[in-house]
Amino acid sequence: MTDAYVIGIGMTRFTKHEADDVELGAQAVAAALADAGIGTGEVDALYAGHVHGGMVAGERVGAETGLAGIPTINVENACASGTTAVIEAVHAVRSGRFDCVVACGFEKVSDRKGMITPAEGDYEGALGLVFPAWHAMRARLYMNEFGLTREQLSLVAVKNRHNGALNPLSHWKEEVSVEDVGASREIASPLRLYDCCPKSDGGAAVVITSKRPDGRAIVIHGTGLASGRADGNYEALFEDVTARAARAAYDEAGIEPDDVDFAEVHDCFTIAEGMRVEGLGLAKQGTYFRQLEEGRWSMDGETPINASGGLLAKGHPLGATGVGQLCEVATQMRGAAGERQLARTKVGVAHTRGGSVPGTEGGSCGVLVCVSE
Amino acid sequence: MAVADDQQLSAVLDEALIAVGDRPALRGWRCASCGRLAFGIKRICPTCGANEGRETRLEGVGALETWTKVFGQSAYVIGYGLVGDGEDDQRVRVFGPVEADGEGDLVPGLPVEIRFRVGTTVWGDERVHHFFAPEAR
Repeated sequence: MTDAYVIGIGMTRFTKHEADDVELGAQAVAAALADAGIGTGEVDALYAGHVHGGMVAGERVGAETGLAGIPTINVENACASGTTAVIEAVHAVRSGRFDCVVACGFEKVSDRKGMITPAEGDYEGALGLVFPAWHAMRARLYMNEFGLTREQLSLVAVKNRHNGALNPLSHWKEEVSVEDVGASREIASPLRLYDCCPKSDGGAAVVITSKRPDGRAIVIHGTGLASGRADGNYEALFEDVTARAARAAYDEAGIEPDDVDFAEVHDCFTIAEGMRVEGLGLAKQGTYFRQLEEGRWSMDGETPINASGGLLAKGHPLGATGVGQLCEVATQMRGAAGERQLARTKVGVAHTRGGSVPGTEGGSCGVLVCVSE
Repeated sequence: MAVADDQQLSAVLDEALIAVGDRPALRGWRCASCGRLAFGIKRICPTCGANEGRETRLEGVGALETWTKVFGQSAYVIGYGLVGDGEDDQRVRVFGPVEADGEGDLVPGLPVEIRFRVGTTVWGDERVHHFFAPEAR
């Protein structure tokens, strides 16, 4: 089986855009092709992750970027749609089905009113569950079990907004203090506005090939995809779906959590970063926030988390989010991250969670393990 | 919102989740193979994969596991309760509105009664749904 190399990346800024989702996807795909230095004739297939894009949105992006006519695969897996598209693209390249593919994600979120809800027909959504509330209830459980404080929760936003202020493609460019987070308006107790990611528009794309590039190679060595187990008694304080996706990716890559130098983690809410870093095996359950205070997850810490600013600062355009995480991992491995450049970038992880399903621990989860060679 | 009576139940009942009988109850399901309790009727056991089971009723008093007050156009309280069917000590996690003006009286493990009423969903349709009524502390 061949390896899958990331040879091109491109993304728009994640923010409120006038352009529609297809245009944002097309901008990202064009940028990734230019970055890879290849023509459209070299691309065998297009994988497109989106949540609200509608029918054949990937084909519409292809038609705008010279990729019409090739096999196009549309992927919906809620917020993990982009990562799932990448995972499928990687396996298609590894298996020899295609030699060179583009995986992209795009979304228009800023024009959607109110808080994001589960899919229509979901009984929890019908009765008032919104995603901030889902995370708020886990934050309360975590507070009760592990003594998490309001100030510790705020430190996640402080860290990621600091990182995002150094990222030209970030939605938010302003730093916040612990006091700012605690004083921001209530959304779903105990979460406040700055505990929540913004509703961003954006597009992101990568070019993946089986041909090893000259010089530095960024290889996707591990992929893991999991869905929430349908067990009404699931462990609410542990990200088992993340742990299972991560284990699959680590095993495929032949690494352990201790080998991870840095990670982009699905921090849609402050509590989510903590629980998901623990689910990834980078911290023992109940210890993430203490280590946050000690600086372990900062850019100059032992294992930087969300140097891009994460969803909390960089933004969260659903289908584009996971591909954007991979773009950040590749940017760090290239040494091209400017003021937010990390020191150790040999092994990087991108982690994305998506959606909720009643009676399960969550919807989807995708994990990518990238290695710089 | 009004407490559901039989006529209302027949009009807007979500039959996937609510059984009526002498009184409304949430539908539960017990696997014939492993005995695991689930919320809602299952075709295949989520735990062991067996395809035979029987319906049971989740009713009475459960325990509030966690909750939040959502600050939307109007504030409301929702939460997860751990509820059982009384046959053994198994409980399953069920989401629902919590009948509380604020959060001051809510604590983890607080007994909550499963009740039913007619309400408007966030999608705009009217239906019978369950909610959690905290027992007075």
